[in-house]
Amino acid sequence: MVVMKFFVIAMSLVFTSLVLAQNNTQGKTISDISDNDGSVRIIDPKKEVSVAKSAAIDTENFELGLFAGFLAVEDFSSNLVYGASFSYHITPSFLAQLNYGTSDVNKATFEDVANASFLSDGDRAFEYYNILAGYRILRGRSFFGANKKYNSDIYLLAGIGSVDFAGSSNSSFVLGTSYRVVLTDAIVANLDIRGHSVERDFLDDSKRTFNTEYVFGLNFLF
Amino acid sequence: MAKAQSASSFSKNDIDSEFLELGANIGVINIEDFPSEYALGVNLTFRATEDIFLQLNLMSVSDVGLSSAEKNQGAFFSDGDRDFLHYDMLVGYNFFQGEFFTSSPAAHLSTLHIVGGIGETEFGDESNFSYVFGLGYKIAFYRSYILNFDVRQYVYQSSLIAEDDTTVATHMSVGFSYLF
Repeated sequence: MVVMKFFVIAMSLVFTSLVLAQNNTQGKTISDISDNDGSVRIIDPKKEVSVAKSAAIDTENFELGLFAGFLAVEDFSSNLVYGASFSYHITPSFLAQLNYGTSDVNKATFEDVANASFLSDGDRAFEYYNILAGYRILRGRSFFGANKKYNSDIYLLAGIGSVDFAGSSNSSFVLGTSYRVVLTDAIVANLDIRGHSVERDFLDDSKRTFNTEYVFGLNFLF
Repeated sequence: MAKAQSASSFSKNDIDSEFLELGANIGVINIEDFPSEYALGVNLTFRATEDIFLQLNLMSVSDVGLSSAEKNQGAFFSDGDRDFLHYDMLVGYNFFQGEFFTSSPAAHLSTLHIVGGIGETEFGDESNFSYVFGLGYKIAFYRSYILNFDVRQYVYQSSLIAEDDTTVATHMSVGFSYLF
């Protein structure tokens, strides 16, 4: 009987010490348990959220731009071309674009050999105006190095225009693509490849010519 | 447990290891002093690093038409000599790496690149060493099928019309390539 009482007392002591130990460890870390003063240290994480700012064509609908590049004129040579463009973003996917460009076409080699000029100085300028419709086939972003990222789009361009060259003015068809990178909220860079198909009458030869142009441009958004 | 199983079934084949691209293109070439013509080409690209690639190109134009000057004064040369053939070896640098989105949620990888190199141009019974410069962009619509837009300029010395005349041919093309 004495043994029984001793066993019950021993079990009560063990149970009581377990309950006390449980109460002491609740809500504390291992390091807190070892603290003698019983104070709780709360670690407050830094709440600095880095804000990524994305430049985009959002509220701006118009672009005014300048461009320069090369124009290869059929039967002649490849020369510097420069010009200006005005674009209107009708919707995020469609734009309308007016372009003006001019290129001074050097003498063709046969003119040099003949030591004659088959075109007057005024007729040597390949001058064009056109109105193009652009459809954004892809939108995305481009990475420049490891740390810079820009919104970018690829547009298909098509339209009609007029070309003044070799003493006549003829209507033209234009087909091209435009790779556009939004550098800031106000500036867009574009790299365009365009083909100008135009009728031309030169040296009694009337034919449809294809003239290849590629240009780099900077556009101001407003 | 599921994660452990998928990790154990991961093999080397799951790592993207393609570095060769075989492509074909169609375009228009403006040969200086001659008409513009349709051009067909093939190329093999070796992706050396993420940014740099090497490319072999072969392009051909059969029977370049007469220029307005030739129609007026007579053909400078004829028959097989009017076939234009160009081949080159280029180094390319991916200037802008990018990704594009279509209606599907997947992103399609793309690059804007510049290229430069050397090659040979055969035209008018001449074979001329050529410098090549250009730029273009690639869009991977599927992992292995890539759409290419390119503009290249072939610069060489030609004596077809005048002695040692620096000549530029501008080639614009659109093509598809397969990555493997």
